[in-house]
Amino acid sequence: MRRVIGAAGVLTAYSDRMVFECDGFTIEKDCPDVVVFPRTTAQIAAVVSLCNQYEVPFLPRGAGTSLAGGTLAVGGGVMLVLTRMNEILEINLRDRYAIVEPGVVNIRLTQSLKGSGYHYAPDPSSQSACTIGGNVATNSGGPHTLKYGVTVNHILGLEFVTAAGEIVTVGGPGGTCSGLDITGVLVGSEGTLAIVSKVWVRLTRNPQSVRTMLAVFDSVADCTTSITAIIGAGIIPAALEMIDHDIMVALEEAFKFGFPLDAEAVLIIEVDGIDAGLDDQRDRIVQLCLDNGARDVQQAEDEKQRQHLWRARKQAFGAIGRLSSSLVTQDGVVPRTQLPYIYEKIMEIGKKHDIQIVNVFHAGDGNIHPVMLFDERDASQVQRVLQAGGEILDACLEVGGSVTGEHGIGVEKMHFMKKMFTPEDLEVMSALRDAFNPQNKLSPGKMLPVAGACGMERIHPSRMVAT
Amino acid sequence: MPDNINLLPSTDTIEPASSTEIAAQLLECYEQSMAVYPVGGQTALDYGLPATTVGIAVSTKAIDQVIDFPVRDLTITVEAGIPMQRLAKLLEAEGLMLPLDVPQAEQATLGGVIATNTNGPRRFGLGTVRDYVIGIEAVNGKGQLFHGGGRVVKNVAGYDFCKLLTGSLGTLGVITAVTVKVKPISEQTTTVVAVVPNGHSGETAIASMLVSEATPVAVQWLQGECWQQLCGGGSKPAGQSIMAIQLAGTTVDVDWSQATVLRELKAAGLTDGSILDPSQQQALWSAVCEFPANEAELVIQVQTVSSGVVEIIAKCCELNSDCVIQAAAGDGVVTVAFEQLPTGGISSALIAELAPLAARFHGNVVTLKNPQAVEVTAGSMWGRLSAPLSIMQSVKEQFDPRGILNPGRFIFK
Repeated sequence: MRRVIGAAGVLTAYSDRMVFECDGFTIEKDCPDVVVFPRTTAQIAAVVSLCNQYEVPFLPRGAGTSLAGGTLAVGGGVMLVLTRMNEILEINLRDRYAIVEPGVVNIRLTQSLKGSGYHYAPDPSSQSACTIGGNVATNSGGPHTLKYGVTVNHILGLEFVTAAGEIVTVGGPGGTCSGLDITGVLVGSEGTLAIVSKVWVRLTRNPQSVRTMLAVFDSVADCTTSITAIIGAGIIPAALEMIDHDIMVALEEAFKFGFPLDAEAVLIIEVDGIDAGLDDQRDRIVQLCLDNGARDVQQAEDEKQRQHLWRARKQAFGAIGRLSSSLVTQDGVVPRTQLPYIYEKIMEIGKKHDIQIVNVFHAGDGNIHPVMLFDERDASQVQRVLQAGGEILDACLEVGGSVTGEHGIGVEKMHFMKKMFTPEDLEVMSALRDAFNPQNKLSPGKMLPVAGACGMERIHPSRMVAT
Repeated sequence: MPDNINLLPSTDTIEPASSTEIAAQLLECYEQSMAVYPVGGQTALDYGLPATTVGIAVSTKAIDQVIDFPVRDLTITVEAGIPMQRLAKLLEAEGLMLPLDVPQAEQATLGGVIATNTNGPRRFGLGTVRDYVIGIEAVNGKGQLFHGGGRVVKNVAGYDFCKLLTGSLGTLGVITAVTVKVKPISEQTTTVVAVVPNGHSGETAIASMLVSEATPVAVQWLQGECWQQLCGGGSKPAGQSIMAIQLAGTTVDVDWSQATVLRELKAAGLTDGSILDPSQQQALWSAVCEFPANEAELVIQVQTVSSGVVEIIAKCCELNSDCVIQAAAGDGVVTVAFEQLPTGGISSALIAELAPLAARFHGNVVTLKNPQAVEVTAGSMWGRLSAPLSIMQSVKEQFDPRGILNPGRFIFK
């Protein structure tokens, strides 16, 4: 490894590797045996070949912001951390694309486009830390994906290293022209099919104008009903985000935004597009909120206030750290009209298990993020959190939803795959994985449950790491 | 109904009444290694290489029902055999649309549109098939009925079979049911047209539409005689290239946008800018949409980047001055109908001259129609593949190990 990467790019000491024992999903931990930091595609390929030669499992990692354990080194092995491959290789405004290395931090691309009239649309809340390679792996969303689509809608092509160590390019500036949409299959495959080494992304025209509102509600039910009313009226805002009372309290402490702390929920509503028509659209939305019980609807006065509001929203998870020592965020999806129902259900489940749950929703997409607060030193609390989380996701499935809208299956939700998909579905998914990763050495123990076992192969006794 | 079924060397056409019946049928075919030709509305059976292996046609005609239409969730789940026009009417009754522009929509089925990845002019502003399919059910070549995605608009659970099956031409599975997201119909739609006097101003105009704050839905280039063919003459002089810009939004948006676009096109050097009246507008876009299904001797599509459009068009005109061209110029998709085969034939004209130019703009040349099957090879049909064949082939082997699905018609050996 040192010969391939150079000594400075290889970590072997336990104290160095320990940082990589988990990602944003902190409940399970497993330390990689070796951590490498490749700088080129050829280095990735060489590392993969070595892993194959010695039959060691391997997996890629970006910034480690994944919330479902997608970058957990199950069973140890070699972790390829791609954060040093962080060059923006090309920006082509005429044809609206950019070529980036996988370790480019999401927000850096949009920052580097400042003044060009373009931006990169997917904007996950972790965008100031997460990498585009990681976004590709999980098909990341974000507040503005309601109007602009998730990561896969913005990926035109990929270069990747196969599980066998070959370097392959699919698609490109013109997207997929002929043959199967391999790009589309790799996006969201959670690093189980290939290691992405270069990404062609589509750039999005900045809207001419924006209106950002904050609707204040005395009841969460009125808030969720308003969301349904807005979408049902045929208005697709650029973003539609719900924050409940308890999160507001944490945000207020952290950001001093001026959130109305006596309210039960607020809704951040953003519409963008042609300036001439936006005031009308805003007025319609304000009326719909008021008709559905909003106490008040305020408008961001200027860009500064708008940015402040978004910063508060995007750092919600950080701010919640003030409320509790440990937290787990769920990532269910329901049909948008089921938001009032699922909120009631979440609170009922929290009460039943005596776990405090606070909520921040990408409401326009029906994507819920109930955040469960607990103390990870208390085994009984951990157990109740897992149970409550499971029941919330079951409730999502009961109304025709999904167990993950943007965080991925990772290791966290593998056991839900059997609830969402039939045995045949999983067999076909497994077959697809075999087409790319036949030895299952690339990120094993992820996404697809192991037939017959309950994922037990994940914890090899000799590889148990004290947590 | 066209008699295109004769294009297939099928001994029989069966019309299963459910996806489970299709699965049973395909299992039987798998066991007997019998070729299966998936058939929807039969509008695209001449797309792809000619079928030569004898087998059976499996039609989705009898699976055409709506499964679930939760209007306020802006999604609809339907069986794959539903014709596009019927689907459009159902949606329209609720003020919604699935903005995929498809020729012969009264016959073409949603399943077929997905399998062929058929897209039209509004792809520029509203996206393509892969942006709308959020859930899919299909039967693979082993007779396994499988699903991907779901019924909600945001979902990353499991591998994305929706993307995999889009454009797979029935070679990985017979699509049996689909969930798509839908959009509200815009309050107002309008179309600005202007004459393109030369390539230079054409390129300037395309580039300006890409950054226009009017955010066009479609940026379409109509080359040569096609204006006459499209709108029965209209007010534009014969033989010139036209740029047609579709705008949509609220009435206030559209009023502002059309004035803006007229100004921007003029500044780019285009002349005779005007706004179409509603009937002209409808005739134009419906003709644009039907264009790829025309009766020419050869219809090809060059899929490249937007900045390649002007040069590609010039090259096509050079190859055959009578060719009729429409380009979704913002996306770099140039569709060309040759009334007669280009001088020198397909291999020397298309492959030797056009393909390298397309490649220079990161693109490719695909044959949409070649009814006389002149010089048909996988190379002339599909051009340069977007991924190495070996990768696609290993996916194919997992989904259809005996190669019974649409054998010989797509890229696979």
